[in-house]
Amino acid sequence: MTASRLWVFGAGLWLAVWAAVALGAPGLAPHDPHASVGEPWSPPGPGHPLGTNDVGQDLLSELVHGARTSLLVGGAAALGATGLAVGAGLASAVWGGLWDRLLMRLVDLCLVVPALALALVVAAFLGSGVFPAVLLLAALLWARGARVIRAQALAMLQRGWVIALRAAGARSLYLIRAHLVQALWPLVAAEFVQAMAAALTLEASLSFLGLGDPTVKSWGGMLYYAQARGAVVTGAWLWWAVPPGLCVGLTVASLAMLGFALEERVHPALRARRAGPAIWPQIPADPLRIARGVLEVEALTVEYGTGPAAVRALDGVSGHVRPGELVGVVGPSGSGKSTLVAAAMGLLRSPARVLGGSVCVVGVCWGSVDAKRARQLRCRSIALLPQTALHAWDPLRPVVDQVAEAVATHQALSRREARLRAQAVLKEVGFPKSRMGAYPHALSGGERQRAWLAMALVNGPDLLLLDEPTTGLDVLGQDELVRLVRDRTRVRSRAVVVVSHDLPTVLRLADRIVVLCDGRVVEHGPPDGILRSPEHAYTRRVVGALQALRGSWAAEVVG
Amino acid sequence: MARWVPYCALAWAVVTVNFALPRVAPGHPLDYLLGEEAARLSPRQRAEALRAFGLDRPLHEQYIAYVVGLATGRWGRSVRFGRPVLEVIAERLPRTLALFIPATLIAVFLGTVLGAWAGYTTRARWDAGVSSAVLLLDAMPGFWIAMVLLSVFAVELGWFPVSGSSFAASPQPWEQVRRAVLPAATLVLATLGRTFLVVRGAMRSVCQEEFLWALEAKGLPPRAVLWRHALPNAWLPAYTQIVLHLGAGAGGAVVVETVFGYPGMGRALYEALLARDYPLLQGILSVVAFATIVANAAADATYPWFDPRLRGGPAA
Repeated sequence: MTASRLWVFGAGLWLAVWAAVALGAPGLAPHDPHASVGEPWSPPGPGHPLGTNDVGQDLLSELVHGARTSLLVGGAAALGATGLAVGAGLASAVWGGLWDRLLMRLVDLCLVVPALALALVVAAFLGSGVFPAVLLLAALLWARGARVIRAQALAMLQRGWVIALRAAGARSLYLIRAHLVQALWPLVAAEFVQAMAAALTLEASLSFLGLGDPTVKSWGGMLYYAQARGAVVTGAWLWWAVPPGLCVGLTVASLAMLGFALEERVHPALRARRAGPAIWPQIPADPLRIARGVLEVEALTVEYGTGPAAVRALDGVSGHVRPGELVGVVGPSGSGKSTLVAAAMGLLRSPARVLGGSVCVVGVCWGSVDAKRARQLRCRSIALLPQTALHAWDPLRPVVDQVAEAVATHQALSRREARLRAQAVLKEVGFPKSRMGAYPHALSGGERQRAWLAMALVNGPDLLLLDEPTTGLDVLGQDELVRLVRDRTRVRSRAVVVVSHDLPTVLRLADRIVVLCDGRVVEHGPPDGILRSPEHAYTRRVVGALQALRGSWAAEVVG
Repeated sequence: MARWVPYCALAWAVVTVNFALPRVAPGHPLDYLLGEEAARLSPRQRAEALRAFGLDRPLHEQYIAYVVGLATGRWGRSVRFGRPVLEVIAERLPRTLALFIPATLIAVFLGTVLGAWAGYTTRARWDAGVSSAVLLLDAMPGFWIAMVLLSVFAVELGWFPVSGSSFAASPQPWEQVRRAVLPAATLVLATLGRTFLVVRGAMRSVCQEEFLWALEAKGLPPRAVLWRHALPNAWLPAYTQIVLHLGAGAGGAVVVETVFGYPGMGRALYEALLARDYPLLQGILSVVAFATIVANAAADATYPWFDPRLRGGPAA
């Protein structure tokens, strides 16, 4: 839940107000809620802001006193449930073994029991008091929290500093007291408010079914009488049934909101949302413009974030790729390679901002086309083998279907034809025929990489972009890939760009090399030239290291 | 196999609690089994009744007899309705399912569509608006939603009948559907939030996965990315919960059926409780427990349909 601050503030305010009202109920309520102080069934008016019920009791006073019971039962039950959850969860996580298995089985059991049906039956036996209700609700609601706290405590016990403490001889109880409780408290607080929300709802439901304590006022009890006395079929429901219902609902919603906010404190990843596309500077489409290559990058400047904290990833990068070329882009980590790849695909995401410059693919610039035209370019004019090609598969679909989908998206073919095309290209890149129907998880890293290459090539793109193509492959796999790119891609694609930090691979492949460092192009030229006379400090260091490595390796083998 | 242990334990626990309830509750078991008639029995009739129910035998024999009776369909007679328990359940269960299954399917559909969209969209404000509204709806007690719908649509506007108590007497199928609309709508509104929150959360984490960005690099339009790829992945965590929820539905929706006077399992449970009708109460609880177990088995068995990674076969 995006716990925007305003919502959380509102939720806190609502709860604080009702907590104050519950505490000061005797002084705040205009009348004794148990006394008949007005005409029965009177609508809201002077003296009775919410009207009166069927025996002339003041509804506002009932609501104010009802807050006491509802919040007390909810809070006390939540306290009990959270206490049980913390005890069971920590014991399970710290001691483990048989104790853990038994407790977690019990949790499983409690989680599948339909809570309301069980609460009804037990409430009917325990009788209708506040105390039995608290016990019952605590016993019903502890299980979820126990599981959550156990999981988080286990995760913490795996962390380096805890393992170090244990190795140093720290006892379990000390660990729990000194470290875990402190680290877990936001989660415990989240569990508390969520248990309280559930307890409030259950308490209201029990009271509504007439199983609450008839001698004390509660919100659920008010709704029970509103229903039993037929307020629903008269107009009286508006001031008799709506206010207590809203009180229950808004209080539960406020608690849930606080719970989400606390959970996000524990797991900041919950806050992450899919980023929107970065905005490109608008470039008017120019029909007379002559493309200088399949990919043209002009003075491209990209920053992440705004203000003084902004990081400039690309700083006036220019260059172009002509048809038939195989260009290598090398640079250290953080040199802006990934940003360049995303920009080339037109897939930069906020917080990236394009400050200036342009990227044009087959003469079409990303800033000047609408979303639909942009999609038509991707995988058709410019195709990508992503850095994470091994993991970039939808796990629920066979690989061949996903390749066929790339065909069907861009070409008006029947399903069967698209599939046949996909199979043909898969075969071409050496994907084993027997694995055609396999799901991604059943394939080896090399097979997944090949299949992605097939997907990138299947529409015969003008430009193939290989992003760190050798990542995650062993030396043999790297060699195969290099040969594949050299032999096959030239047939299927008009130009290739290899982006990599792996200089040896790029040297073997590229006709021309561009060196990127700190977001700028620091050097470019043919591989031989770069190898023989590197100009920039980074290039010199890498080439030097490479030659030293080769020298010592040669010395070892030959000598 | 280990997954089955808790559910078998649950079945055993429910059966045992059922057996124990009339025996540990204050008063004599006969009072519960026969209701008010028990007070009018002569000592000889009492002894005969004890023998007839097997209450004069040792406890462990009673227990075995009870379990065997449960397994062979001798579930006793309902005090409240004066008919065999199985007959009452056979009448009520289909009504509850006729209400609960369509309502749950609609709620799951709406919750999934809204939750998937809210988790996927890059427009934070739209997401916040929809999520807050659903959260608020989810927080409202089901019986209160029922009361408001009843007041507005049945009493004020008169579009639907006020009470479903004459449900059984009503002959026309159309009339029966009309009576079920408001209870079903209540169930939809009260339960769609659960699916929404699970699916939205799961969608959020799917959106962090590599393959989603790669799908855009393939040139797929956003709706294909969302519905064809992201949603099936996000739906997996929600699936088990939904099936288990369906299982719990066999017990009926007590509060909703009570507000609308809908003669289903939930209402029967409530009536049995008020009348201290133990045989019926035991019967309903047994049905709930067995439905829970069946739902769990169904969830376990069907999950691999949606997730190829669990279908076995060689993994690399």
